[in-house]
Amino acid sequence: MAYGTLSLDSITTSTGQVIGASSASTMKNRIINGDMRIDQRRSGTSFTPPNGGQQYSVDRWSVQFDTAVTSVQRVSDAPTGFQNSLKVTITTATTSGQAFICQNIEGYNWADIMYGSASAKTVTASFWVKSSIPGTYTFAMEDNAGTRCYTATYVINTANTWQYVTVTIPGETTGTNWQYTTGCGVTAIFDLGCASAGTPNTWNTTDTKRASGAVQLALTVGATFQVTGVQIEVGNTATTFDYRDYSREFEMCQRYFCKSYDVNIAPGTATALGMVQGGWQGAPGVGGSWGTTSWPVRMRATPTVSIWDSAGNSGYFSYTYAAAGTSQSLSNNATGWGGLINPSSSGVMLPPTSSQASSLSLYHYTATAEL
Amino acid sequence: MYKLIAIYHYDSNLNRLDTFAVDETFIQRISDNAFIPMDPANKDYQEYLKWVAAGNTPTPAGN
Repeated sequence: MAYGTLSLDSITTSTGQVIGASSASTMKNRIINGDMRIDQRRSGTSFTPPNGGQQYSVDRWSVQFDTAVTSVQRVSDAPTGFQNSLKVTITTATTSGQAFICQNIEGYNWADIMYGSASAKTVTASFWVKSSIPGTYTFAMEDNAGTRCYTATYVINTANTWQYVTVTIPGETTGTNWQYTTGCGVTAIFDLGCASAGTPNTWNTTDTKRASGAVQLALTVGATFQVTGVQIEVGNTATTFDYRDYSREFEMCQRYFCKSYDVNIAPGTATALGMVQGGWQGAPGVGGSWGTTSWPVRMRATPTVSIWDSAGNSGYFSYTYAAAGTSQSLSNNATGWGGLINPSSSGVMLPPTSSQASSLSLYHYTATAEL
Repeated sequence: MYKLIAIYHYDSNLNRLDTFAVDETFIQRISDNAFIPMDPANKDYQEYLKWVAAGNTPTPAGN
C-alpha cells in the first residue's frame, strides 16, 4: 500500500516533544556539550581565566575577557530538565576589547549550512539564560576571520530568573572566510560586553560581537551570567533540546580535548590512576622501545600535548626503577632525550627512560586540538 | 615564551642514530611545559607563529 508524504515544519508530540524539519539528522544540535555537563579540565571547580585569548572552561566552551577579570565555573544551578549551567561572575569590571562566552563549531559540522553561498540556510538558536542584570543582550554568529558577524538581540526580562530564549538567524550568502573542514566553520557567541558594537539583527562585516545598545555585563562588578541548554539547528523553529547519550557526547568532546586522568580528576593532580605507558628501556645492549599512546578518538588536528608524572609535575614522566615517583624531564636537552615523536591526530610516541636501564616510563597526558 | 626541543633517536646501546634516524624538533611552551606540534591546524602552533612573526625568538634547542 502506498502512503503519501507529509510536509511539516514541526510535529509536537503529546508529551511536548517537538520534532522539527531538521530532527531526522543524527546531529540536530550543532553545539557540543550544550548542557554543560562535561567538564574534563576542572570538574566543576572555578577558575579565573587570564586576560586575552580564548580560555577553555567546560568542554567545547571558552571565554575571552581582554581586560575584565572573571570567575568561571560549571555550577549545578540549572532550569528544569538540566543539571548544569556555565556561570560567569565579573570580579573586576572594564569594557576594553572582548568579553564573551563562545563555542567554535568545526567546519565539518557546519558545512551543510552552506554559509557563503546562495544556498545558505536559516538556523535557530535556543538556550536558557539567567543574568543579574535584565535588558537586551546579544547572541552572535561569526566567521573565523571576524569579517561576518550576525548580532541577534534577545531580552532578559527579570533579574536572576531562568528564561528560555530563541533567536533565528538568516543564512549568510556572502563572505569568503567560511571554513568547511577541520577549521572553524562558525563561532556561536554570548556577548557579555564587547567594546565594539554592530548593527543589531543583521550580518555585520566587522568583528562586532555586541549589538549596539546591548547590556555590557562586564561593566558591573558582581554581575553574573549563566547559560545552558544551548542548541543551534537548521530551520526557523526551535525544537526540544537534543539530549545525546553521555558516551556519544563525551566522545564528541574528546575530538578536541582528552586526558588520561579519570573523568572527574583535574589534569596535574598527583595520582597514578590512569597513567599510560611510555617507553621501556632495557640495559644497554639489551634493547628498549618507545611507547605509543593512542588518543581515545581521532582528534581534529595534531594536538598540543602536556604530560605529568605521578606527583603532578608538568613536563615530567615517571619511571619504574627505583623508588616510586622517580621521574625525568621530557625536555632534557642535556642528554638528548626529550620530547614526543610522531605526533598525529591518532596518537603519539614517548621515549624510553634514558637515565635508568630496565625501567618503564609512565605518564599522564592531556591532548588539546581545540579550534 | 617558547623553547625548541631537539629529539634524538638512539639504539639499544644508547648510541645516537645519526645515520638513518631523522631528528625532530618540538616547540615547548614555557608557561605550562606543553609540547606544541608543527601542525598548521593546531591553534597553539598558530599562536606560536604569530609570536615569532611579532619579532620574538624561541630559546634554541640544547639550552
